[in-house]
Amino acid sequence: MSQSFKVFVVDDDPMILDIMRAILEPDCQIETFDSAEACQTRMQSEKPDYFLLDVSLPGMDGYTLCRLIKNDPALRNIPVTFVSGHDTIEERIKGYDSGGEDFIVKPFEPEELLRKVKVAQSMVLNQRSLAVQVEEAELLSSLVMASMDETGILLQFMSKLIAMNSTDEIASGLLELMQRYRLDGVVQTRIGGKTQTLSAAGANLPLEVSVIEHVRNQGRIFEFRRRSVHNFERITLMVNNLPLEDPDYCGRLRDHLSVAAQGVDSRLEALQVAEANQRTQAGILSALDSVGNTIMELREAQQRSNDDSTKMVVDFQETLAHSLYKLGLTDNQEKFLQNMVGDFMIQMSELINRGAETQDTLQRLNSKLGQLRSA
Amino acid sequence: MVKLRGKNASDELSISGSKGSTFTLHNVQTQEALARFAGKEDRYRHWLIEFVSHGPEAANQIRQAVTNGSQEAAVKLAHALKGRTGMLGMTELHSICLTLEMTLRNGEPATFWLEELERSADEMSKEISTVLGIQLD
Repeated sequence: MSQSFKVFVVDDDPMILDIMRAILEPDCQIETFDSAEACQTRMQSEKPDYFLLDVSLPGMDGYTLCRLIKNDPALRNIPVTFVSGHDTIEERIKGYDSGGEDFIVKPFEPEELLRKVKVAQSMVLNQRSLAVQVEEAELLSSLVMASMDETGILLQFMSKLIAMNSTDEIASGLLELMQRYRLDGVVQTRIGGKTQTLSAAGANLPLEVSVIEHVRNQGRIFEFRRRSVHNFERITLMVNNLPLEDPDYCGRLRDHLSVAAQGVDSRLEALQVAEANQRTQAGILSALDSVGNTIMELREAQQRSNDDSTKMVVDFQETLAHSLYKLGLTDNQEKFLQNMVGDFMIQMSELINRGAETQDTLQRLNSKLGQLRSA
Repeated sequence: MVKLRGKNASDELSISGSKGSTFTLHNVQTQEALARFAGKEDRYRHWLIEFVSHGPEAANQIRQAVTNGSQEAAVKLAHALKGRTGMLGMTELHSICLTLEMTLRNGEPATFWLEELERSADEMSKEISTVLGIQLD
């Protein structure tokens, strides 16, 4: 038995208290009281590991004192054994109802008393061990809860990140994430040749930019004093106030921030690709417009050429018709010329007709271009 | 009634027997009782000597309570004496106290058991005095 095991004994018979001391003192710290009230007074300044309470006491009886003990959160786990001259089932039930753990009947044998005390001591040790286990479990539970909360913050950020469409939005979101982890720091994004540095103090502050420029090539994760830097191709995240006094939290933060920075880098890459695609698409549309315009110009030029050619042919035909009789040609000569001109006209008509076909082709081509642009 | 020479039994009684020696008392389980005092004979002797005055006084107090109609006080006194005699190994006195307590608790006539208690307490007191060699007035 442990000498540090403290027992409060309450009995109004000084001989019983003397016997208790004689039996228990070699193994326990004993304090004796001749009334429940005296014990109560002492309990205000000192709490035992175990109570041995006589039932019949002057003033407050042992059952009442036990109920008071069991109703006090600070005392309720201390085992109580009644020491009574009443050995009836009614008395035992009263003891049980008042919250006592054990019962011993006078006259008792010292071995029996020692056995009861040892059982009580074992109960106390088990309770303490259980309390330590509960404390450890609560600590572990709070750590898990805290970790879950931290993970929850990260997951929330990652889910929002998918919908972020600008570097400003992403940098602000990352700063907000850091704030939720009770951190302050700087975020630099680099995308499409555009570099932007943002912190709670503002955008592109020269000192912050110069520090980031210094640390951005120091490796994936770089730490100095209370600062921690996470470098990726398109993002650098610098924390200014790592909680070094809490190494476990620091470790978890490193993991969370690394994941967040990596996610941001991927998102920025996606934005970069999207911007490049937009530029390419704009170029193609512009080229299509240009080709369409050229086709229209060609078509118009072709139309004008056809019109001119038709007019020239008609004019030539009329001029020839008016001029032939002035030449004094024979009928055969005139007929020969007319046939030759007729053949020429037919060929010209065919040429003009081919021009119209070209125009139709150009018109169809232009329509297709229009469909591509609108798509 | 046995009168002790001094005011305080524990201070002024003298024990003639040598310490650590065994002794026997009629109707007393001395070895068992001594074991209750963790084998500390001086403590056992102390409380036996204390009983020389306490036992008859307690019996007298019970009678007074009964005479005064204080049944509850009489029960408590009988209960307390029962505990004391039981721990001291006084088997006969313990049995008488037990019966007296039950009788009083049940509200039955207790004259017989009161007289038995007074007689036995006196006898025990005298025997202790004799065996332990206490000088009485």
